[in-house]
Amino acid sequence: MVELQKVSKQYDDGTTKHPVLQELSLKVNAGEIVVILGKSGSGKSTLLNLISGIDTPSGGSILLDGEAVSNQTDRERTLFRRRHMGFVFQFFNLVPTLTVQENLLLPRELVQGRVAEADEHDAKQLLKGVGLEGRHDSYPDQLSGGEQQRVAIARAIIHDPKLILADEPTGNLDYETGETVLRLLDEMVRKKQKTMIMATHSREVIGMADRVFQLYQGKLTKDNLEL
Amino acid sequence: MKYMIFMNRCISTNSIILILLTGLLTHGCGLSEEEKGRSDSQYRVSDFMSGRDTALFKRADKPRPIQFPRDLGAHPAYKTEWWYYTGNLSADNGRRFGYELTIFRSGLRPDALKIGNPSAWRTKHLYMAHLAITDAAGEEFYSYERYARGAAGLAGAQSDPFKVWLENWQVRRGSESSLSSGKKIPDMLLQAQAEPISLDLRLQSVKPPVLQGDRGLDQKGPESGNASYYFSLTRLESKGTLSIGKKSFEVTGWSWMDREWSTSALGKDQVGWDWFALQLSDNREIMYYRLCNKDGSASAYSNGVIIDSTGQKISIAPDDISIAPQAYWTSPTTGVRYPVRWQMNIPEQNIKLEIIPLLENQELQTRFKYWEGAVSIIGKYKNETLDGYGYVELTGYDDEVNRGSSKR
Amino acid sequence: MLWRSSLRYLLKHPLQVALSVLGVALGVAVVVGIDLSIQSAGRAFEQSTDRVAGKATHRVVSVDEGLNDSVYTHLRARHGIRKIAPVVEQYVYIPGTENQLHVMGVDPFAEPPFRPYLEQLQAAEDGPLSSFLMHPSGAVLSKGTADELDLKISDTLQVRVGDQIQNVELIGILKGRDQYNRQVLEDLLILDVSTAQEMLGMKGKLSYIDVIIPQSEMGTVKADRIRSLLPGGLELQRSNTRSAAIEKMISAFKTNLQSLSFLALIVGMFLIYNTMTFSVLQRRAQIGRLQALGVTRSEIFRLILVEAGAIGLLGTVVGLVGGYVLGGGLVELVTRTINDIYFNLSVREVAVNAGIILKGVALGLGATLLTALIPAREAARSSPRVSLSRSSVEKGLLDRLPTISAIGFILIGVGSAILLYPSNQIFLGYAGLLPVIIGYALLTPLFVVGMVWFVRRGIGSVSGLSGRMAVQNIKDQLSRSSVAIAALAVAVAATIGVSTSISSFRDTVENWLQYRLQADVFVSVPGNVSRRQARTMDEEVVSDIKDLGEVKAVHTLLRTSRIYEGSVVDMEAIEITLPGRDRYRFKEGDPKQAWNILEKGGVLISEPMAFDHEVTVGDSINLETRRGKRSFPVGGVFYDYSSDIGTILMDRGIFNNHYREQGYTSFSIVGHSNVEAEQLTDVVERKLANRQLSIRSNKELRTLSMQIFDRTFTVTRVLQMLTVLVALIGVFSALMAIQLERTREIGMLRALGFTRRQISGVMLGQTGAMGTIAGLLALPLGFVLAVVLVYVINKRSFGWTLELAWSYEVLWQAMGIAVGAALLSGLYPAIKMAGMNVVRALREE
Repeated sequence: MVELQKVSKQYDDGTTKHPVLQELSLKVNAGEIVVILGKSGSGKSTLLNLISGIDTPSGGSILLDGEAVSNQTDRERTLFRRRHMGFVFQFFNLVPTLTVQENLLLPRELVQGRVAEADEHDAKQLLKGVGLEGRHDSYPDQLSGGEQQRVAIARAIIHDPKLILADEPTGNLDYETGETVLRLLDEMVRKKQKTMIMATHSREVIGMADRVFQLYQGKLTKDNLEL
Repeated sequence: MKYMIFMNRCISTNSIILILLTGLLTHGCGLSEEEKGRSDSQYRVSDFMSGRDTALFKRADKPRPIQFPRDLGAHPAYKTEWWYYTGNLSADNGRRFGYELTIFRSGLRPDALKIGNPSAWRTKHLYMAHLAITDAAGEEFYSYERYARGAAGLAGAQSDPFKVWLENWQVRRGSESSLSSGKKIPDMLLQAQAEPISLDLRLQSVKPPVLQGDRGLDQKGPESGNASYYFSLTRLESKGTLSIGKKSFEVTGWSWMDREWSTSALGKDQVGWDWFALQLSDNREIMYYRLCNKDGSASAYSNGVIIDSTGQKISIAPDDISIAPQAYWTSPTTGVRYPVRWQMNIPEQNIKLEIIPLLENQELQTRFKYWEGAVSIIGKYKNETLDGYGYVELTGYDDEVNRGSSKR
Repeated sequence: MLWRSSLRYLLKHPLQVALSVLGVALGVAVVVGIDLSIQSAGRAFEQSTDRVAGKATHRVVSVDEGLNDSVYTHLRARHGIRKIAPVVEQYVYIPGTENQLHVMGVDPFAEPPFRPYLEQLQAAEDGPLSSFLMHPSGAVLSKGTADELDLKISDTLQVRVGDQIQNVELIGILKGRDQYNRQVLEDLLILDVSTAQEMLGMKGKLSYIDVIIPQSEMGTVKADRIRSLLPGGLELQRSNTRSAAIEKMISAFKTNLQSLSFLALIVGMFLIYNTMTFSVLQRRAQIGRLQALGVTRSEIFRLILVEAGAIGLLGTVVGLVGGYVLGGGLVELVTRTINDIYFNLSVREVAVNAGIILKGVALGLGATLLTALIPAREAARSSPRVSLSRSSVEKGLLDRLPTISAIGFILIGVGSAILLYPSNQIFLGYAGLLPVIIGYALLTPLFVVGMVWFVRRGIGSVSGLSGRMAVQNIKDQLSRSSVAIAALAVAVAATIGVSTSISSFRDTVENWLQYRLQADVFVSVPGNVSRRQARTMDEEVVSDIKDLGEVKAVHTLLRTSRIYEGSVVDMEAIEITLPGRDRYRFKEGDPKQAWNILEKGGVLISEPMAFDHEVTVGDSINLETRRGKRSFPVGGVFYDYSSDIGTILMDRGIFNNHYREQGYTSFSIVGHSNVEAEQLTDVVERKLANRQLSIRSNKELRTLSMQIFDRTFTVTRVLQMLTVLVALIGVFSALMAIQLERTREIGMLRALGFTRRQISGVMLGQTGAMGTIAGLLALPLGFVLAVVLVYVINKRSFGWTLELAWSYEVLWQAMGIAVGAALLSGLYPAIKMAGMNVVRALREE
């Protein structure tokens, strides 16, 4: 479903080039949960950005469902992303000026162009599923960090995407809340049989992964050392 | 002041303008020194400027009949003229006063005006007047000056009925009846005021006019035309009121009038003069002026007369007379040193006079400063005591160099 | 450390700071610019008064134009009154231009005590005085003016006096001793009295006699003495009587300009408030953190105020410089208007004085600090936790909405009460307008909430996600958006108000011209149509025209001026036959009766005259005549828009009984019905070919009148545009701030799958919606402003009845300006946001 072929990425700050990813290859199958472990600054977010099409690789190619993303225009990538991807970020997941429900419905509306009552019903159901029943009219900054992440998880799957990208979804949370959120994420993804790539620095996550990779100095290695 | 008017150097058109203007302009040279460029218009600026305009006037070069009342009025064909009144007056209580009222006329270019229907303010003449009062008892000397154009009724002179005026300083004919008695000279009313003084006199000539020089042509320099027409009224019975501030005095006394007109009277070597007009108690008058050369010597054109009680004149040549200063006074304002006491001897006539000023300070504080003052006279004719009053004018003392170092 | 953080914050947002500074600067610049231009005009006027009056304390004037010069001779030569000086004064034109020279005919012998600058009227030994006195056309100019006209001594200068060209020869050049003297001498053409009388056709006349009377008991005695010596029709008055009356003419004009400049400042204040509020809101997290670290509230309060002060100071400095530049431009416009409708004035330089600078500084700094008080207090008040929450601020505002709205309504009420209070004070008009505007601005949040609700319910489902988000954003960012909206709304409302009042004025005047200008051809002494002319045409001109076969009727007019109760008023003596009379429309009084009263020795007065002096039909006005004060019954009040100083209309026959002025300033010609207007114009032109007269057809004159009208309002329009500009900058900076603040959010939206276009759509949709809201908000306020300007301000300033001309065009334009301005200012953030690097945006905190 997702295939990376010798993908490289380097940033240019004017004087020197900083290689972030070096000829990195990876294949993720449908329904698989892959965890990318890495320290802060190892290039995890960059990797996710490349997969989502937010960023473009300096070399190599990325195939989504067999199609090379790198050949697409920004607009095509955006439309693909909107349709087939869900996101959970470390922080700032929600649009602050929209209510919880509005945030939740945002992907649906993006895909469908409009929302119907059925969508609102789905949203409420989903909210119930993540344990936030009745909070649909709240604004994001009225929720706790864990609650916000739960909304984000709900939002990531509401439009039934093929691929969910999670970037340190628990990075901003305390241990306990993180656990809860992870469990929820695992549960939701598994239940809906989604593919998910999650980037994290926390080894606690490993348990829910089908496969674990480690990102170190721009290279990806299969992580089996401490399993 | 008469002397200065004679001097072209001082009183050409331009210099009277300068005199007038210095009133306006304290520090000179406001005008830029732009080239007087050419112009296609009818008049060129330079036409109005040069001193050569005297050529446009008649000159006093030969005797002309002097007639009355015609010659009391203005003579616009000549460049300058004046009406010069001086007099000694006494109040009821014996307080002595002297007065001077002079009105000068200076002609501008007589040919310059070619304007049809000009404004009444258009002028060919500038007028200047001096007024002075000597208060002997109060030891005060008052002097004033005024300027005006000879137009718009502001200043002017006319012969019949006689009137000469600059603003409200004026001398005019009295009643018409004063002429009917066959006299040539009408009664005159003299009026002038300037805070705080005022003068209001009736003047009655008791002697016929004296034509000075040759039938009224008074030669003052070597060249033809260096002369003036000149007549005097040497004994004018005067009566009227003189006021100083709130004090008013009924006064009587004798006045003297000089009328003179000319275009270019003096030679260039002459730098000043002493002029004496003396009215003696024996009903005689003496007029004598001494012109002074650059080198300090008396000019040969100095001249004078003695008028007897009937009005007959006896000429006095420079050789007939000696005038010696007895005392000097230095003006605190100008620093000029004037001789103020004189010894005058006319040996042939057996006249010996001591001339004493009523006040030493009788220097006029006008734009051009000079000494002109009332004097009293004590002296002898033969062996008889003689006294009287008179007026003396001293000019040219402001520049010691002009007069030479050797004083007489 | 705190300051450093604050400084870095400001440096990190240079555009925002620059815009705030610009906003303050523009506000200050407009106020200072207007002040400077008015001040410069005033100073130039004083100088022109000074150069004329010199040291004179009093002046002998005639109730009509000029006096016999024999009066002077009488006073001086007969009564020995010294310290008086004759003056012949007039304005002449450089032919073919509007440039004027101020002719002063003086007597150099009388001058010394009066005009010290004439000291220089001399030269070396060969002085020019004799040519000054004797040259038939000799004149003296200042060095500056001579240089400007490129003249040397002996050069000839042509001037137009009334309907004739005259030659003047330069015989002297005056170099002013110092700056002041040089300025006083500008544009002065000094002649001898005689030359002036001849050249100006004033033989036997003087314009007036200057007098110096000491301020003492003796002075009073002297004044009484002079008065006792004056023949009938002459008065001894203080020198400044006329200039004071003249200066009064432009007081309403000045007040209005100053008020308009204040409007710009008010809009500028919104802008500053906006900026400071943003900078507080944007840093609420930081402020919360600082508080958490133990920074006290008062320290935070001070921090914000100092920041505001720095912006204010910078803005003020820039504004002062800008004001000086602006003043230079405005002074020309102001001078032209004064010249067009009031009196001759030439302003040579922008006069800077400390007062104006202080006022600018006080306004710039004061307004900045004042408006920053609210956000500063807010920042200091919020507790650390609340500071971190953005929605709490918005919630707070929503909670306070009723209070704010109530204050708004109260202010509007107070303003309306002041406006409705019957008074003639222009000042009260503006004083009433201010609370209305501010009160209305305070209602903006309420209106925004309402609008958003309405839009969401009504059209929200149609406009799609971006649209809805855009609208919703406005509401959710109420605290920021409503200030920008209010500023924009006020500026647009000002546009509506000013435009409407001008167009109302214009329509009224056009309509009035329609019936006032009924004749076919108009002949007048050249120069300004509206201003009185000193020199007139003689009878011959009129009789020549009357004799023409094509001419059916000639109506003559002599326009001159009088001082009535300390104010300058126009006086017009007319010869008008029955059919010509319907060109006058009456506001009060029955026309038939009015004309009857006029014929019998009464007067008709114009509306401004009736208003200014509170006289109406049935009253009488007392006028000085040659034979002393006379009472004239008022027969009617007619509409007149040619002069705001008031006009007294008198029958020419009656006028001649009371005054000596002769000739005509203009006359109108009605042709026979079978004669074409063009043909008639040709005939008249041929007949008057040898005279310097303006001959205009009905159409030409009407066009010209409207041109002058439009020119008069140039200043107003410029000010109005500047106000809109200030508002635009306000909106721009507000929107910029709002949008730029959302970088992270936009990044996330992009990640979620928002296309660039959708992002732009949200941005532009939001600003467009704000513009629309502002436009809609502006309409009622604009209407109120227009009504107040037309019926209150204009009425109180000039006394004119105007018909409110409400045009849809203005409304559309206003709406266009609002939306266009908003979209324009949303464009930059929209482009920037759409094109931003999502990766970097996501990484930013």
